[in-house]
Formats: sequence, C-alpha cells, structure tokens
Amino acid sequence: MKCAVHGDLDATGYCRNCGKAMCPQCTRDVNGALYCEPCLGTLLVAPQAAVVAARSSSNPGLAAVLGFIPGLGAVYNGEYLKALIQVLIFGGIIAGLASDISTGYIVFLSIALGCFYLYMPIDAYRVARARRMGEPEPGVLPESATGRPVGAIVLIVLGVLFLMANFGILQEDWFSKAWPVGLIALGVWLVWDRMNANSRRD
Amino acid sequence: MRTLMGPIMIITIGVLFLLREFTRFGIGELWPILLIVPGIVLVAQHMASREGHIDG
Repeated sequence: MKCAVHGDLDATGYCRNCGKAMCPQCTRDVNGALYCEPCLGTLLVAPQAAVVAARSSSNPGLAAVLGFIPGLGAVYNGEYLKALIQVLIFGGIIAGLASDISTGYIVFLSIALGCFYLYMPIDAYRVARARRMGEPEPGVLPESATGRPVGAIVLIVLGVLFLMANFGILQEDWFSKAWPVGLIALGVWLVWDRMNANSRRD
Repeated sequence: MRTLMGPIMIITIGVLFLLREFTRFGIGELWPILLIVPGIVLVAQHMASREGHIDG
C-alpha cells in the first residue's frame, strides 16, 4: 500500500488514530505508537475531537457482514485481487461439488466449502480491525500462537497426501476416512503450541 | 507488500500445463501441486529473515 500523502512511496505504518497509510517521512513515532502529524497535533490540543473524528474510517463489523458474500469483504477493505481470488476459489469449490467426483473428494470439498465460507468474513474483519487500530495486517493463512504458519503447513500436507492418492500410493477415498484423525491431530498440535507460548511468556 | 507468490504461481500454472502437454498426467492427477506450492512459498516467506524489511 502507498503513503496517503506521498503516492509514490510505500506505506510502512498506519496512523493509530485515523488509519491513514504513512511512509517513513509522514510517520510520527511516540513510544512505539505511530501517528500522522495532523492527528498528533489534534491529540495534543483537543484529544476528544481527534478520537471521535477518526474512528469511522474502517468498520470491522461491516467488513465481517459483507464477508459473507464471497469477495465483498475484501472489496470493502480495498483488496481487489484477494476478492477476485476468493470468488474464484468459492466458485471452483461449488463447481467441483456439482461435477461427478468420488466420495473422498465430496467430503473434502464440502469441508473446504464450509471452512472457506467462514474464513472470508473472519479475514475481512481481522484486516479491517488491524487497519483501524494501525496494527500490521494479519497474513492470508492462519498462524498459531507462537507464530507458526499452521495454515500453510496444513495446505502442504493435504496437497502431498492428495498427490499420493492420485498416483496410487494412497487409497482413493483416504480423505473420507482420515479427516477426523487429521482434525484431532491439528487440534492437539495447536493445544501443544499454545501451551508452549504460555510457558514461554512466564 | 510485494511477495513472490504471484510470479511463482504463474510459473507453477505454466509448468502444470506443460506437464499436461508432454506427459500422460493431467490436471486430474496433478492439481494438488496448486495446494503444495503456495504452502511452500508461505512457509518459506515466514521463515525468511526480516532484517532490512520495513513491513515487518
């Protein structure tokens, strides 16, 4: 994203008060909190006025509601490429389910459809909220408490297992039988991960 | 933030269709690559050094 004032420079932060994208020249850092100069000035002189004026820029609740229509949540956040990809994935899953495929795939696509349909509003909400608070935006796929790329690893594992099934190494309907085990394994991993995060904080 | 995902996906789709053309395997067998490659890219980006990066 580009700076709101200097359109040719990349934004390195967002104003905590108004959410504006700022390049390093525009950023005013107060003990780690990033502000733009106008907001900082207003906060120094009239704190109440500054807070009230800025909050309306990015509404996470609206983003979440719009997210239930495929792609619309991302459009609200201005992430047009992400919106297009979401529509394509959603349409692709539906098309896959409508075509003639084996049981294993039907189970997989149904679960994928449910997860993806919930993912869209949640992602739109998280992005809108991070923007409004001036925090860095969350990544595309979920990450664990210690920051591990859980979503990406699940994607790789699923891909490898499906590839093995396609080449005969694994049986064809492995997913319809194995997915509860996968879910349990994922849950155990996340629990273990969170316990590690908590103990490290102590 | 500029990532490598876009160009890598373009390469992947190209390779996929190339394999479809010159081997007996089609999209029906090779589609999981479209899950594996983005996963690898995301893990690699996650593990890559943050030094010198502005976006964190």
